[in-house]
Amino acid sequence: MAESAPGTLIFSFTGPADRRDWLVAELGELGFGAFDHQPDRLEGFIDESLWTSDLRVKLKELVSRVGCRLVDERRAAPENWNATWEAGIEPVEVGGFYVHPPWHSPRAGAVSLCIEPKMSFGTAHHETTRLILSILDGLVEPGSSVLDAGTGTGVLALAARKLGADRIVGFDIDPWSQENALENLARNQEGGISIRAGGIETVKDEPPFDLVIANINRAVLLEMLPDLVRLCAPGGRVVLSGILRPDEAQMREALAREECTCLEVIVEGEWIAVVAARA
Amino acid sequence: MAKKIDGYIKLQIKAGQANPAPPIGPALGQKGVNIMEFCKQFNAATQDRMGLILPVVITVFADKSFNFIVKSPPAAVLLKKAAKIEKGAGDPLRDKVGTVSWDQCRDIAEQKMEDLNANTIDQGAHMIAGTARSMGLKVSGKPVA
Repeated sequence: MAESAPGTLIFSFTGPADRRDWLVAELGELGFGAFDHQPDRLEGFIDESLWTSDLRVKLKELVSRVGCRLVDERRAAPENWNATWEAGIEPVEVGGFYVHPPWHSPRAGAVSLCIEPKMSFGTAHHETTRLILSILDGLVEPGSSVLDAGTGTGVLALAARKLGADRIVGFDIDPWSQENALENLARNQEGGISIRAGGIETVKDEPPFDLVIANINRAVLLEMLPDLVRLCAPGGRVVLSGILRPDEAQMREALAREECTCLEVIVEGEWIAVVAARA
Repeated sequence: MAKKIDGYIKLQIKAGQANPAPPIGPALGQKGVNIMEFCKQFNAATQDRMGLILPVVITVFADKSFNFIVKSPPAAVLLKKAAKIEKGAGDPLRDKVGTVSWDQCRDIAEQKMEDLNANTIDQGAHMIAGTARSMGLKVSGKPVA
């Protein structure tokens, strides 16, 4: 894991069950993201990067007010918790690509994408990645430019490079993804791809791209869509994935509002990907 | 044939914000489940309730696959939302910081019925009203007899 990735602070509380529920409601508003109810205590988890001395004061006041007790606090260092699953992953073949971990050899006749995920998303084991890989060949022209929003392992940026894209930029808000994507690009001997740590603000000054790819989820895509479309050159393509089938109509409406024409919707399981053209 | 169950994991996670850090990472990771797939599916399934704390029960199968059920938020979370209060009372017996209506208590009871030890919505609503009072909320409106 990247040393820059934040750890997690874990606080343990005791108190009557109804008070613990109240505490959960209050802690959620302080920025705690998850809770684990143990028989004898409540554990609350907060991203270390959100923690401030002001929050400590608020926490102390809150625990007293709710009638619970803070009995322990500790820090969990960033770690690849997905290592057990990753150690057993098998190659995936899709769209002419052979996506495989470093401990599996490339396969003759397919374009190799060697990916070690290290807790980033994008191994082609999920439908949302496969959907884009299955159509990328028809979307990337040699010498074209590609933006990969929510790049994860960098698998889609890498695939675009293998298809001949020239200027490629990716970004991801997960702090460990930048390091992982760059590792994967180096592992595949592909340089010159810029991977940014952060959100869409990290690419706001980039010239428009011929192809904009985003595999995230509907809520985030809807929020980002005006910026994603702005970053797509007139006549270029926007490819959105991470969308559940019932959300198709909402996604189409949002694209229409941005003056994009929906060209194709492809489906795998309960997931869809949408290909649209910018006017 | 039904798949063999390896175990259950019960957590409360903010809707749309699951990530592989603790507690999700270690809980799923030690069972060999693909954490990132769970996060993707949970966040997509809960994106309409972004930021609301939701209990989730994850069933992990022996083949490392999983499914999950998202339950309704804790009553205290729903009450805070209904009352639009910044914080609960310092002394809930003396210091009332907000109001929820009896109808709101009934609405919350309806959402929480499967988690409440109640036979009717009204019984559940009385329990929710009790939770509200313990948080320093006033309950307005008369329960229908």
